[in-house]
Parts: sequence; C-alpha cells; structure tokens
Amino acid sequence: MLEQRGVPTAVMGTFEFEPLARLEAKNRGIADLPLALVPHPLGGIKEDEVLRKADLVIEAVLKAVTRA
Amino acid sequence: MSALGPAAKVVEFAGAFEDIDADYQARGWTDGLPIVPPTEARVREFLKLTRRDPREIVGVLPPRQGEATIEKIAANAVMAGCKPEYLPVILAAIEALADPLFNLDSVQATTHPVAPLIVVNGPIARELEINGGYNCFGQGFRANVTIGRAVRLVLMNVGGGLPGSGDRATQGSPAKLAYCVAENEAESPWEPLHVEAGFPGETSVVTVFGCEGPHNIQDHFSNTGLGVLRTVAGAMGQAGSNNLLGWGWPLLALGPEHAATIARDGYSKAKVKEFLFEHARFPLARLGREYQQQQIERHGAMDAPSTMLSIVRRPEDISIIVAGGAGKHSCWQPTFGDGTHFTRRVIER
Repeated sequence: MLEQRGVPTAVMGTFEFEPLARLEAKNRGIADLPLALVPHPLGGIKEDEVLRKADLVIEAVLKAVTRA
Repeated sequence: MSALGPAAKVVEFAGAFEDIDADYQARGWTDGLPIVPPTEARVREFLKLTRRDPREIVGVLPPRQGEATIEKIAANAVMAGCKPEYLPVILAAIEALADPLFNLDSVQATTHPVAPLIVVNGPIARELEINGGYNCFGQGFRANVTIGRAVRLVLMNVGGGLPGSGDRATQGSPAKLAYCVAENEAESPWEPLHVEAGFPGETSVVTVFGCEGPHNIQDHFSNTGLGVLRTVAGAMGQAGSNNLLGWGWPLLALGPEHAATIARDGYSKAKVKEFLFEHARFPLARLGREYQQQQIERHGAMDAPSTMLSIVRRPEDISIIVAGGAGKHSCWQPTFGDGTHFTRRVIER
C-alpha cells in the first residue's frame, strides 16, 4: 500500500509469521512482495542479537527499498 | 447500488446431521462446536429479514479479502444457531467491523487476544432479548451467544481468520467464541452509548470494540462515587494492557449499582472519564527498564520516578456503558490499543 503511494517499503518479519505475510500479500494481489525475514523472535532479544539478525537481512532490505 | 459478490456455493449432502456436521468440521468451517446446517430453505427464512440483495457485499474481510455478502452472512448466522430476526444486528456488526477505522486486518491476524465485542443499544436489544442484565457477558442467552458466534463464524469462514494461519493469536480468549451484549439502558443513570454519540434513543445501534474479554472490577466496600472510581481507576491503570502500551479507546462496563453510586455523587459520564484519565495510571518506575525505555522513546514519557503513564490520550477516548444485574461488580475491556478504534452502525430494520 505504501509502495503504491510512492514510499519505498521493506516488509520485515520472522519466519514464524512468513505464512501469514505471504497469505496477506497474495490476497491483496501482491504475491511477489519481497520479505526480509529473520529467525523468530524479534521481541525480547538483546541488542547484540538484534544486530546479528539485522546483518542477515540488510541486503534484502536495501534491495527492497531501492528497486524501481 | 452497492457492489454484488458471487452467489454462495451450494453443497449437496445426502447423509444425516452427524455426517453434515462432520464434513463442516473436516473442512474447518466451524469454530469447533457443532453447526446448524445452513440449508437453502433456512437461509431464505433469514433473508426475509432484509430488503437488501442477497449478493450485496456488506464488507470485504481480511486477511482473505473475502466478500461478506448478505447471503453468506445469513448462512453463517444459521450455522451459529441464530433466530432469523437477529440478522439485522449481525449485518450492522459486520459492516462496522469492515470500517477501515476498526482495522480488522490487524484485529484478525494479531498475536493479541482481541475479539470484537458487539454492544447493542436501542429498542432492538429489548425486542430480541439481547441480555444486558444478570450474567450479560456469560452463558444462557441465545441472542448474545449466537449473534456473537455468527460474527465469529463470518470472520473465520469469509475473512479467513483461522487459528494458526490468518489468526495468529498467541493464546486467544474465550471472548473470541461469542462476545455480544446489550447496554442496560433501563438501569443506567446516564445517557446510553448511542445517545451520547448523537443518535435518538429510539434508534437501534451496534457499536463494535476490538477488545480483551471482561476484566472484573470488584468493590463491595466503597459507599461513595469517589471510592468506587478509585477502585475502577486502579483496575484500569494496570501494566500489560495494550492501552498502557499505546493508548487507544478502552471500554468500561459499569455494573448498575456502581454506576448508581457514582452518579448519585454528582458524576456525569464526562466527569467519570476525566477522573479515569487522571487516575487510571501506572507508575513508569514500576515497569522493567526496557519497557520504560519504550515509553520514554516512543511516547515521550518523562524519565522520572514520579511519571505516571496514562491508558488514553484524552478523557473522551474512554467509552462507558452500564451492564449487568445486581451486585458490586463492574468490568473493563482493555482494547487492542492504538491498533483499533470502535466503530458503529445503525441497525436497519
């Protein structure tokens, strides 16, 4: 939705919620929506773990927000 | 004219009730309880209660983006065990849930145990015997239980809010089975919810809240309005609710005796809301450091030992109804926080 308004967007989440994200994307007609996914969970983790998980998806996020 | 959706599919069954029910269970078309088979004849009985085209789309429901047509809603109402005359209430509730302000996308899919609470005001509540008195949030009243269940079945069967896929609730709540109540207007010392919103008293209105199950507030000891309100404020200003996390539009359902004591001591609804805005608060210092940090960084809470966190942005963001029978109990419904706003619709008759 934000992309359609011209706002570069990256969807981040955990693999735990990947089926829900894919279901919602498909039902909204954007089945190819790129997802930047990390192992579950995102909440309740320490900062070093946050950074480690961010490293795993930084490329995917950059790609998602810079693609034409 | 409103958009039309596809006609509901007709499935042929040859077996007995047990076979039909087993098939519905196997297809995942139920909340777990047995269903009443929605035969074409039975659905037609329900459709007599509305002038709208059976294929008219009442709302598009996420996460499936399912088109909730009148006919499909009627079929789910039959399955839930409703009487035909309940249909207009269910239609209004579904329309209110599909209002973007309600944010059904998040309410359906979230890990939070949020359930749509259907509050019915006006004469239709009395006509259909939707209970607003004794045990109004509990068992024993067909209209409450089956209207609530019908809405849940529509959210599952049309909206795709299926546990584990489209509905990712961590624990869920019994309120997700059926959650429908009438306001006890006869015993309220104040104007009822719909009149407060500007409707004539004789108009029947549904208001839907995305909230937790009822959280009891017991006070047998206070004999002043101020005393009761302090207990209410203490219960509402609690850690762990989404309202403390991020405000929103919570609901307070005062029992008639508590409401009478509060009103007798000069409190209007507006004054109750002002009191609760000021006093239903939780001390920042009693939260863990990470949670404190969230409140400081995202909500601008002052990092000070004296900081008290409010559950709403403004007094008027709290809704109040009167519900229940005799006794010194009230309840509040923490909502899904900032992620949902209550919505309402007039019930067309």
